[in-house]
Amino acid sequence: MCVVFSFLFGLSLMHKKMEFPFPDEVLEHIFSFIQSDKDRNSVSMVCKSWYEIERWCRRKVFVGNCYAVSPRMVSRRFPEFRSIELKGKPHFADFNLVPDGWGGYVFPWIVEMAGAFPWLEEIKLKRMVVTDESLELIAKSFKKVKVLVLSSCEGFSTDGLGAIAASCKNLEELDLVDCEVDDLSGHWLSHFPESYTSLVSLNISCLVSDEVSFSALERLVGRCTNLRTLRLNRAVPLDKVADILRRAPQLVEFGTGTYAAELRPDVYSDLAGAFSSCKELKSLSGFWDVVPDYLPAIYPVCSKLTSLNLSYATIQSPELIKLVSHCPNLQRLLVLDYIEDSGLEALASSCKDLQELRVFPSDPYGVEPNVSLTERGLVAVSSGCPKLMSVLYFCRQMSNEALVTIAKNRPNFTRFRLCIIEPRTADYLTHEPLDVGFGAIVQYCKELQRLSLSGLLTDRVFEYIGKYAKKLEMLSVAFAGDSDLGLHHVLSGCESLRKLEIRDCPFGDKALLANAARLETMRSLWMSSCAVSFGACKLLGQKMPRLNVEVIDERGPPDSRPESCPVDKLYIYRTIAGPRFDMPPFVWTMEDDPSLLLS
Amino acid sequence: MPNMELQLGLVLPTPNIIKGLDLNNLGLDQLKQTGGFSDKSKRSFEQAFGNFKQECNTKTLLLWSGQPNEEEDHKDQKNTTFSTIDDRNDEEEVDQVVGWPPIKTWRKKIFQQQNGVGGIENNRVADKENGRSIYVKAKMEGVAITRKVDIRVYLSYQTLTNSLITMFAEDKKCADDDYTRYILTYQDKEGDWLIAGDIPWQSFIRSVQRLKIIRNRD
Repeated sequence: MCVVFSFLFGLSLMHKKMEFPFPDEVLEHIFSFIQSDKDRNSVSMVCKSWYEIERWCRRKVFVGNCYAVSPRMVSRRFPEFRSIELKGKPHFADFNLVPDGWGGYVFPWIVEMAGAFPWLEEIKLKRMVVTDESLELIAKSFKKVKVLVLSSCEGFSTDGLGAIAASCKNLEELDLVDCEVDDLSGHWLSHFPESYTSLVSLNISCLVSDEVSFSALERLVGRCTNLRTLRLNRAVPLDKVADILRRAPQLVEFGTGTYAAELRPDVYSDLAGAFSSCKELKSLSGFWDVVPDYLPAIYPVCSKLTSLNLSYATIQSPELIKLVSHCPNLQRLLVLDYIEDSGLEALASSCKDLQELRVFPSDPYGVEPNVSLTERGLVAVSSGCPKLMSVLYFCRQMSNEALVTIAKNRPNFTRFRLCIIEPRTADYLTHEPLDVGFGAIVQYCKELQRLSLSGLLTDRVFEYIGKYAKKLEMLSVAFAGDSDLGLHHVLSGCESLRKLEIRDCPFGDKALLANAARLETMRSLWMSSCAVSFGACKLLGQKMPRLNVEVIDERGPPDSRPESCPVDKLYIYRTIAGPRFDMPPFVWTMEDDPSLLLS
Repeated sequence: MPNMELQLGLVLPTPNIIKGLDLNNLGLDQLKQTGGFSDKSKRSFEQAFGNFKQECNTKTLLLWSGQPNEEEDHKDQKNTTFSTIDDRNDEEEVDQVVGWPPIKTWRKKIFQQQNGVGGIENNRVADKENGRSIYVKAKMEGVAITRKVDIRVYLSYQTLTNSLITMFAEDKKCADDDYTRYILTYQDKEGDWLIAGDIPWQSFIRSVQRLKIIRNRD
């Protein structure tokens, strides 16, 4: 990519000097090598003619915030796109912080594209409200659609999926990740016609009904010989897995259904045999309700596994240790904290290629620890796994000492998300805040792009973050800080920051207003249960016409309270589409100052 | 070499159990940061364990008053109240802060299904009749950590006992240590504590509410 870019730089200089000898088609051809959205945006800013050429040949459009721009604007600027990726609700919606009905509806986008883009091939949506009506419109309008990915979406049922299955003859990928689907029945799978054979990837792991049409599933799997990814849902019993695997031994990624059954030698050997015949398997997931005695059935494929998702598997440390010791090529592991420190130590010695680790809590709401998982496990992995770059870790205790050790061990972290379950937990050894520990993380890990903080933290940690975290793009903060100074450090220091989400911190008006201009260079800022007054929100809305300042407050209209009253939730995002019109009664967009709009 | 009597008495080397769980790093220090004892000196095992139970309840009271009174999201699990102070109920659930800990809605639903929604008295998952997991809490005398086991995956007292041994014994290698015999007991629907093994397995799994492994003092 660097080679292409420096070449382009040279070309752009030539172009600026009006000595450009090449026709547009040449540029277009060169641009076709540029896939990344960021780079495409840079290219389009070189000059007017490059902007024009680029917009006609952009094939993939990425809209990180569906309200930053309108569907019409996108379709006008990029008349030839084939793939669209849209994101709706803010990230904290994952944790129920965004009330239902806030927004993020995909329907207007589908309507806009339905007429003008019948050749659309890919639709990828995240945190959007997708209705059956939208799915039916997709099925009707886009005969060439190949890829449909719905991630953390809601609002639709299996009826909508049935419409997709029935009409999208060219569909290759249907991927439902963590969606809330009204699972009316498993029969929607039979809507795929018998003539349909194009499926390459199917992920239905989030469907919750107990009913699944096994025969439809088996026939579908059997006739789609290009199937590479299949992630089943919990309803599919273990004794069906062998049949399915035998029909698709070419699978590269597989997710089981429930992994429990009565212990029977015939079922076991059937299963083990079926797994053995899958020579290409690299990724496994599922494993709901695991019966430990059935685990060894997957041992034959373990040596090739690069990705393992055991985050729903309630198996204990000894079994987990046995399992990971069979997987020397593991690059990605998702697991419950049943793995414990001892399991993580074993992981550190067996899996030297590990790049990503996520440890989820098995008992997040319990007061006392139910497992022996502490900071030691994370230290062990950071020490033993030289390629570890991305961590999500839930635990109940941490120390500055451990964090400093981790930071020094692994300066190559790009994502570090630590959740100490009890808010405001201090360093358990010294009882001090964890400022120094997280400070070390940002200081040593110079490539850090994403950081989530937890534990007892003062303004000092934000000073460190503002000073060192120059490549940080996303920061999540909860129950931290002492004053506005904390927020000010972050907004003024973190040059690459695009997304900032804050909850339950004593940050107020001063830092926000002092750094108002910075907000236009970011995608979004979320603040809930903080100390930002309604007055400050109004001021921000007036002064910054290119920002939408949304006050979300289920207590009632903010102007029914004094202006100095803090708002409940605040969502600020840059936009060229102006205020939106689909807001529910508990969301108010602060008005722009009309005189500023004229300039 | 190790003499593991597996009828219902669990034979486990006592020193290894204690060694496997470093109490100093588990319960005590958490308490230190919230409870208010700053005494860092090591305590004897019994003293530590006895105080731990007591302090745990105090801790819950502190948390109760300390948590912000967030509006409840109707879809969230209804908050469980902290139980009365009782030796056995030493695993209360915190008055939940909305959206904390930050676990995705979908994962939270699975977790709720696996662990049951509601108060301490009812560990049973609503859809057990469909063959889903039935989680019961399992404690071992002398061990701070309470485990949860899905009794649905076991087919007999034997397999349950095997698994419990695995869970509670960090180190299975037995040297020339003293063996202590343990008994598996359970609390039934009426709240009585009985010795496991007298009733048929199927009746047992319908009746069991929690498990406790106690030392056989005979």
